[in-house]
Amino acid sequence: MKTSRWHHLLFTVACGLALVQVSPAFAQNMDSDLRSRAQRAVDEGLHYLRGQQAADGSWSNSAGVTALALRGFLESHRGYDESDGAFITRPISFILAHVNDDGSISETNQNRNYNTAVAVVALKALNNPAYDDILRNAQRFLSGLQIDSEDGYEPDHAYYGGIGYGGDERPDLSNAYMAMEALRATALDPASPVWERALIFISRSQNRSESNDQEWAGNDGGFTYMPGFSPNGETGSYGGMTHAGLISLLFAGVDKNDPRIQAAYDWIRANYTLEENPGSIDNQGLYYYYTTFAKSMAAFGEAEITDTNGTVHNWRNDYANKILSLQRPDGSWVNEQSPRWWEGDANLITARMVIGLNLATR
Amino acid sequence: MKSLRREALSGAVAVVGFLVLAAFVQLPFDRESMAPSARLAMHAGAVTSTAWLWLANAAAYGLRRDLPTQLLVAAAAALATVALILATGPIDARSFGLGAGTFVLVACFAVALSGLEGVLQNRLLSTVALITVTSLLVAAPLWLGPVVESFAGAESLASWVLALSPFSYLAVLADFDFLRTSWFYEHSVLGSLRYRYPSAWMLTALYCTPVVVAVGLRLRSTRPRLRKMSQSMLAAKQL
Repeated sequence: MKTSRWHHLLFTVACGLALVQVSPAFAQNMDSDLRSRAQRAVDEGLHYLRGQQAADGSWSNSAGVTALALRGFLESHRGYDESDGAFITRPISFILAHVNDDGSISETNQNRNYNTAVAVVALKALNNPAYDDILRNAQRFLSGLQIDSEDGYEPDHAYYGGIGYGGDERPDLSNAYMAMEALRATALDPASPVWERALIFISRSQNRSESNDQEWAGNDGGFTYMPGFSPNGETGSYGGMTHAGLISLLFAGVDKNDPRIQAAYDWIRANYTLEENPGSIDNQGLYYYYTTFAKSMAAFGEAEITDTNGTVHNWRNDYANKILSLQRPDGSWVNEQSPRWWEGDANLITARMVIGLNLATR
Repeated sequence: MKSLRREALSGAVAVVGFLVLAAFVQLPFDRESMAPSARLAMHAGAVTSTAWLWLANAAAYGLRRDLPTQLLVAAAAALATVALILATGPIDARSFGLGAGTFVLVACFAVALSGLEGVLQNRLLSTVALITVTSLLVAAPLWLGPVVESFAGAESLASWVLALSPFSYLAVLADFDFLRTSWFYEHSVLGSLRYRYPSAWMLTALYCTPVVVAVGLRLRSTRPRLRKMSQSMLAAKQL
């Protein structure tokens, strides 16, 4: 009897230890009540998306928006997969119907990089070997979009290593980060020259003259849209792009202690807020900022961030509180201040916020 | 007085033509690293503008401003587009499409000018009016962008604004997404909204319509004359 009690006690302690092992990854330090509310908000967002889904399974008649919404379902706490029914399998069919001969996945020529990149991440999340060929071709397509010597751009050119919308025109950090997320998801060889070239472009988008050889480079450590240009005027750093830059550096395999990452992180500390997209005009790209914020903070891997005033923030709590406060009664999110960068599309923004909350509550 | 006005018109058009060419040559883009599609569209745009201005001024060069002459000049502009593309870099299937596009646009503008002259009965006024309207249409993605944005970025409205600009036609033929180039992205809100370029077929049909109507009207007006001529010849034979 005594032995049995002893075993029981040992078993209880072992279980407790196992839980302690798991809990740090379990929505690190997020308040449990807030976590429940955030998951409920995800459910409401997904419910809204279910209601907006077209008969062919798509959202907003776009492979990109469809892929983002699909990703929202797949990564949610509900753990949806292909066995859950047509609301998951039809969007997959819609995405697959837009696979092109060149490996891209897009219904339009104008956004081939974005659409392919987000479609790759969603298809990869399905973990289905049936899509391996499609993913391999898409990976080749995305790598091929990178601007390099073969396109007539030498390493000293500001465009070198960048990726644009998918035409043969200028690259930008936003497109580059999306492509890198997809290349990372499909485990592109870390030794691939794509990463090295991308790092040159990323560094040239950062306001850090020590690692940016462009004349305009400032020194606040933040990132701008592309070398020499910000939609908010001149080459100023702003929130959405600084978080995108930080993720890009991490995707490219740069160590967390690298001065480029530290400089970006310092900019984020100095401009820590969820009330606006810091550095932007009229809150343009606000929800893009929220998305990259969640992604970069999750990828950086710290539960708390101390701003330059010394205040410690639990970014998960801050993020969830803010995103929950912006949810509309129908479960959706939309940027009511500015439709730029498609932020007037409630399907797109709802999908992005669901993805962000999934990351924060994971 | 009439002659003085004609001289003034010729001079003004020649100056505008010169300015268009000068602006094209002086554009601050990096020619060496210019995207292939951008090169194609820009060259076709430069030829179209100058060809049409030259055509508007055709009388000053002793050319008739009838339909066959207009079509001939449009064909010459098409050849010039292909030749310019060939002279400045590699050529591909898009170049010939752009040649055809140049032909359609030049012919369309020429016919529109003739039609306007018929209505206004004033060559100077017609030329100035058409240049002004065309310039506004070419620049529509710039100045109508805020209107599209105020409608929460309605995709169909954005596509219509794009369709208004004759440059979109050349851009579509060149597969050139000009709204996302650095300059346009900086100066037009349209590039950051959801949009879709109209199809090349739709735009071809749009710009061909005035030309087809003009050709049809001309055939209708010449047919009775031809019939009359053949009847009188027949009567003369019988006599």
